Amino acid sequence: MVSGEAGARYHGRVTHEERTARFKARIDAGEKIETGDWMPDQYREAALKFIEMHANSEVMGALPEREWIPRAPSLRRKLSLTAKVQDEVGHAQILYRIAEDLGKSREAMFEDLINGRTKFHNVFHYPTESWGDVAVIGWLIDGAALVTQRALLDSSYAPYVRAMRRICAEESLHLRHGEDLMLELVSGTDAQRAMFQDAVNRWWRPIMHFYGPPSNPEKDVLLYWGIKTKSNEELRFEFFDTYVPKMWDVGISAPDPALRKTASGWEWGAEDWVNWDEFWQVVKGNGPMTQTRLSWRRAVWNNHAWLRDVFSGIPRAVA
Amino acid sequence: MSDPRASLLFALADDELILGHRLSEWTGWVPYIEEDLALSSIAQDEIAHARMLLEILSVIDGRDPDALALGRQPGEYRNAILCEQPNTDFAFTLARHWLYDHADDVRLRALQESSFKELREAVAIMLLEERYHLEHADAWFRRLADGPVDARHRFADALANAMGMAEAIFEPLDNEDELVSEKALPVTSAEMRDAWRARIGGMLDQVGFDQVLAAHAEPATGEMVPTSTGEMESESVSAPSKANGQGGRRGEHSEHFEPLWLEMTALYRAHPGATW
Amino acid sequence: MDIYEVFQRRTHDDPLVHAGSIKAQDLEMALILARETHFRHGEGAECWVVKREDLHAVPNPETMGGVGDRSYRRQDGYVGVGAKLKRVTEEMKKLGKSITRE
Repeated sequence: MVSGEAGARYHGRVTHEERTARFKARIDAGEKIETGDWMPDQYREAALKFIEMHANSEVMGALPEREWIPRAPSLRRKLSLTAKVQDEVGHAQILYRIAEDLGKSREAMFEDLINGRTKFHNVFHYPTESWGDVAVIGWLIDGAALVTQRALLDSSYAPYVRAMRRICAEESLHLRHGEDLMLELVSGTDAQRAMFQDAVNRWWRPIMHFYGPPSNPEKDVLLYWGIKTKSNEELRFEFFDTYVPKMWDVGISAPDPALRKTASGWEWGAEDWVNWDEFWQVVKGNGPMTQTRLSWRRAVWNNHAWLRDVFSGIPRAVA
Repeated sequence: MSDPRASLLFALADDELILGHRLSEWTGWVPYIEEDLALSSIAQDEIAHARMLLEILSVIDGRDPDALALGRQPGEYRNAILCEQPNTDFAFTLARHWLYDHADDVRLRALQESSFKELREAVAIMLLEERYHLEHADAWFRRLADGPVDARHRFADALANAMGMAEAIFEPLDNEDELVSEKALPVTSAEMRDAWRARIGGMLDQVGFDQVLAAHAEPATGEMVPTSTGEMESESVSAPSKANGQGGRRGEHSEHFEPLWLEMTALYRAHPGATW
Repeated sequence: MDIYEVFQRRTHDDPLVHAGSIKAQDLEMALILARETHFRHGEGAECWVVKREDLHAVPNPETMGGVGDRSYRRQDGYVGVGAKLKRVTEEMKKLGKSITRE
């Protein structure tokens, strides 16, 4: 891709500080940054890290749900769940490609992930226990992700915006699928209804952790560079607005005893019930399924070094 | 089964269902992302083909497609035992894919002339989708066979392991004589098997794998792809409990079928009458 | 492995647009893999791939179309023509130069 060489000659003796200031001004004015544009190191690194974590989350997010593909209780759901998980892998493909174009190889990113050096969203560190979990993941967790992803449509980094348009379109389909799964369960047998409520009870805390602790917008590097455009609490309240009334409409409760709609927004168990200690433990890689899932990925990856040799230019065998 | 066409449909549908089930287990694991996407689409095609065939069968049989797919007892499934083998690793998966899809292509082309109208219509759709499966399988066949030494060796071993079981795709069906005389099955299983052997024999020869056709190697112990439950036991490809990998068409399966069946059908069977 | 850029044509009336990229070891694999990476939902009637290194951007795109006033070759140079048509028509009518239709 074109580097900023020609631009550098044009700029003459502009200092790094001035260049960075002009770059920041472009972003504040709503301009978009392309892959080949000059960018300050802090921007490049912040964007790469953010997109890499997003890609990691898609690829690890496939694992809880794909456990249910072999167990799907109808042919239609066998197909639709496979397609849905396939789309998550597809999102990882799109995001890794963008991150790679920012300067880190896909192999390096994957090796960092499976060796625990980089992170993926907390919510994908938990086990699944029933088909109810499939419905919760497909409706509430995808719903939570979509709230975040829609906010990224305004990101300053243009390739990420283009990726998010496609990802959001596919996630909207997943949402309808998730809603369909939920509706069958809540209107089904007593056992099915209980299955769904039980899953909500187990997943609600990880969903609250999804947006992270209330952050300080002043100190948020990603907000500064416009890579992210909304704060954690804004996103969480948007999630509540969208999903809690729907849950209550079908008679499904959230296990957070403090959750209430107020005139100005929502009250929820942000101090105690949410258990931020657990959040930080999982961030450090101590979630219930973290090491198990990473070790499975390592095993498959390491056992297929021979396959990577097939497409990396090792000389061919003579037949 | 009073209608002989049921045994034809069960064989076709169960091959696609069980193979599709196995392939779908790779979704999210393939160590090459773009290939993960391609293999997942192929898995979905196979399952969708099974669904189409079971819809035709349900008119004859009376049970609905989900009941047919998920509600039968293990001995009632009529897939070739090649299809139920664990994925093991990518070499075995691709070897099975290549052997099976060429067999399926020979079979589908023959069925284009079937006297069974609904089946002919389904076959036309399946052939269009199978064309891509063959392109994909053949592309990988060439790259592994002509690839680095390790890849070539693993692939040759995998083909040898799978070969006997692949031949058994053409084990005679129940009621085959009637199916042939009614021209529901326009060509005998033996004739299809010969056509398949000639076709793959030529391709194996070209890459110097002619020994694969002749040999039935010892079953390999492969590094396991994690299953849905996550167990990482090293699974061996079936030492077929029946000689030469046969028996599937009569509902006699390898030791790998029952765990697959349990996983595939448990949730469905635990909630009779429920909709999902 | 090389990077291949993938293009799609949605329907036969549409132009080719960029859909994304894939990594593949050669053109044949790129063609096989591009379809399921970018078109498995039936997004397009056609799918094209090209190696990224064969795609070239024209330099200095900010000067494309000219930098000084080139309104004479753009729509914005002809903004008043509709009003002019109306004015001239009325003028001709007043001067008795317009031809009646009967």
